[in-house]
Amino acid sequence: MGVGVTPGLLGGVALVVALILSVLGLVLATLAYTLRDGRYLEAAKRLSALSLLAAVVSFGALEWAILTNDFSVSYVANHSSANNPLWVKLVTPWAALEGSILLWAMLQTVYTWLVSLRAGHSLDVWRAPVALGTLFAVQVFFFAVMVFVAHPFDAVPNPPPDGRGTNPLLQNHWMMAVHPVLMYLGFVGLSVPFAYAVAAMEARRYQSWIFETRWWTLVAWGFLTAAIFTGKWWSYEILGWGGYWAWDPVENASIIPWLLATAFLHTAQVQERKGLFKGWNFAFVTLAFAATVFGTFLTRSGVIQSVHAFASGPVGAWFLLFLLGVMAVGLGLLARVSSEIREAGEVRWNSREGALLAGALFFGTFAFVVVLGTLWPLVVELVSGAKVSVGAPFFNQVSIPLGVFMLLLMGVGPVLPWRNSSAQVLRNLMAMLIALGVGTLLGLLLGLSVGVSLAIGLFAYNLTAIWLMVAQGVRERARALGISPAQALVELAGSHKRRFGSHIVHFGVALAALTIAFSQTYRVTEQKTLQVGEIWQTRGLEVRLLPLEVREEPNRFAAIAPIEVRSTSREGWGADGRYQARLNFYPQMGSPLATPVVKYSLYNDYYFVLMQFDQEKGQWATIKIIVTPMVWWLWVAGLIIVLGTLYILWPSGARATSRQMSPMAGD
Amino acid sequence: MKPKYMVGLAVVGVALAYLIFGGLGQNLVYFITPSEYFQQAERYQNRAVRLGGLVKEGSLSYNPQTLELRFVVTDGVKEIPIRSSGTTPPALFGENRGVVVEGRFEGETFVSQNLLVKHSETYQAPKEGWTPEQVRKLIEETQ
Repeated sequence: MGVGVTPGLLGGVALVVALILSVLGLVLATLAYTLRDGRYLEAAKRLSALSLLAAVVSFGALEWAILTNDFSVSYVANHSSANNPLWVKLVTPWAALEGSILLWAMLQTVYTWLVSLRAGHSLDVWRAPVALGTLFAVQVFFFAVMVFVAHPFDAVPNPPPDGRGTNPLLQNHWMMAVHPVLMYLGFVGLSVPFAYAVAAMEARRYQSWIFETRWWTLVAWGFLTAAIFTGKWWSYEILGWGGYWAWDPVENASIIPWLLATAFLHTAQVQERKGLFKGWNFAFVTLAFAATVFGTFLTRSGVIQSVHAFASGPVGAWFLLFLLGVMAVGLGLLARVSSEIREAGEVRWNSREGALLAGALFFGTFAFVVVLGTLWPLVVELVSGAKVSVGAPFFNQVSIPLGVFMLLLMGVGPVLPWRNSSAQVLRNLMAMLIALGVGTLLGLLLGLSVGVSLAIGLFAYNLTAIWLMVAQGVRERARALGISPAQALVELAGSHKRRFGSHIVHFGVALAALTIAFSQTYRVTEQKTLQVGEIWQTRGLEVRLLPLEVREEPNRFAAIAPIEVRSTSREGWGADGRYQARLNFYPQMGSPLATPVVKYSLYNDYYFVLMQFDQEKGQWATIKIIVTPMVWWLWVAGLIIVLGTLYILWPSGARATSRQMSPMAGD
Repeated sequence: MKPKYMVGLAVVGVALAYLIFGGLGQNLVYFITPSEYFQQAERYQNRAVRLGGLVKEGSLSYNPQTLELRFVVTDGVKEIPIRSSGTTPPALFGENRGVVVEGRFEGETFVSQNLLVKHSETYQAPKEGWTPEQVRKLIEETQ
């Protein structure tokens, strides 16, 4: 065939088509809103399905180009290699800037399409055109960025025989297939609550948006939570320093929208029940979406030094403009309607709504502090010209007191009744405070540090709170209906899914806080140079170095230090086994990548890193061992939080929707 | 709003501001090159600094017994000796490559606590006769 369809051609055309469809969708949605004509809305809904199709074709074309090693496509030539294993090729679309924007845009079209299915149903005809128009506008931005500044399908005039390869750090662990996708699902998901908020403010319908928006936010929040935990795990397993969180700007970029979405999930409940906090809700939703754009701007523009370097380029300016646009639309509308949504009543701090607001304000403050710490280097550079970065100790200092307050509130909030407190509540609070005291004392008696003891106390305190609430409900129901407590528990868990789901999530958060306190306080590091065959006794471990190996693999070669580990005392319990700490050498990288091996056990984690080896004779290797308690439980906590979120979201039939509308929803 | 709430809010606000701005001031890490260090050597003593430069050719030595790694970081004009004891995999260092080390000055020697991992996907080697500004730009871009 003379003129065949190449992946580059197909992908490029599909991108332009997607851009045109998004512009048309925006125009039609605007017409539907201004002319109040449902036919335009129907057409816009159809366009959202078509733009989804175009985006999927474009993304598929990129996969096609990568899988067939088509190095005439610039993205493939720059970021892929014929030698990459299949799974690396499949995930290469989001290994660099242009492809990750394409993934982002494609997910955006999915969310827009899902929203279009609600239009005319739960999303009424006054709000639907505005919500869809907002989402089309977001789509226009992403497709325009690709078509005009970050084109994944640029043609390479003289295609090289092989590409430059994929960033080694990204192909060194299978988490690359999971974490970025979850993160984008979360980031993009926050565009829907923003669109709903814009629609509610524009159509002046301040109450009806909250039910479904809470649901959408929870979906995005669940993805973000999963993304943050998998990111921690990834960085723990791959970076070789034994930690999982370093307050790097890229990590901050993921936590800021998470904090703001969390704030919204709490105040939204008050609006659902009592119609209060409308202004806060509009603000939190706007800021949460703006924070996703802000994070992308930070990490893609090169304004902030980060260890996660993404190539800096012209996209930074585009994202900054988009960020300003999002903030201007959201906050501008909020300013316009602020006089109409003024609160009717006053909030008591010692009620459920008071605690929820206080919690949300803490989350908001936390987000503000993280933004400030992340941007502070820019301020210093503008003022004094010095290049600085804000160290992790700053964030730790601030987040510890904020975290303690949040954990306290997390226990109290759900126990407090709406409006006013009563005698029963005081008894519950007393029990929780006793648990806090006993837990802390127990920690101190065991010789643990003050911080860790407090963490144990707070864990006991939250556990007590959840126990009291569940037990009280079960007891009342079992007595009233004359059924067994077990049956009452099952029935309650089925009929009060939001309530029980939030207990599960809160339990996960309390567990995560406990594991963070333990692992940050009691991490120990040992290292030594061992001769082959030498045995090293340390920390209850007996470590023997076996002969070094060098292994050729298609995309890299590896120096491997096999070690045999036996535990000799309780301190080293669970460490037994044979491990291969390695240094991976990638041709596109001048220096090797240390790849640690991690052995998890129920208490301690054993982390083995190959630091250096005898490159001439292979007679010695320097091994570092990091022993950290309870890290395994941090991953369990993350899983519990995600499962709790799923439990809340799991559809329970048509009854659930009608119940959500009633004032006693989900208690 | 009731006065007692105002007082409470003010207390919380002041505590937060103290926590934030006090913390920011103490935890700034300066990012400098060897030439910049020698312009204001006093200023950078005994505080956390990130030093960027190139590992000088032939300066890298690792003692497997003491786990001590020594090398010299240069920006083409000035040089600073670095001592790092077992905090970063020595294998990750290469001669003539850009590095950013985090640590403190102890006298004329820089004691490194951490090598910043670079997630960069492209690396360009500096060329002969580059000015410190060019080297600095390169290091920042590779970071």
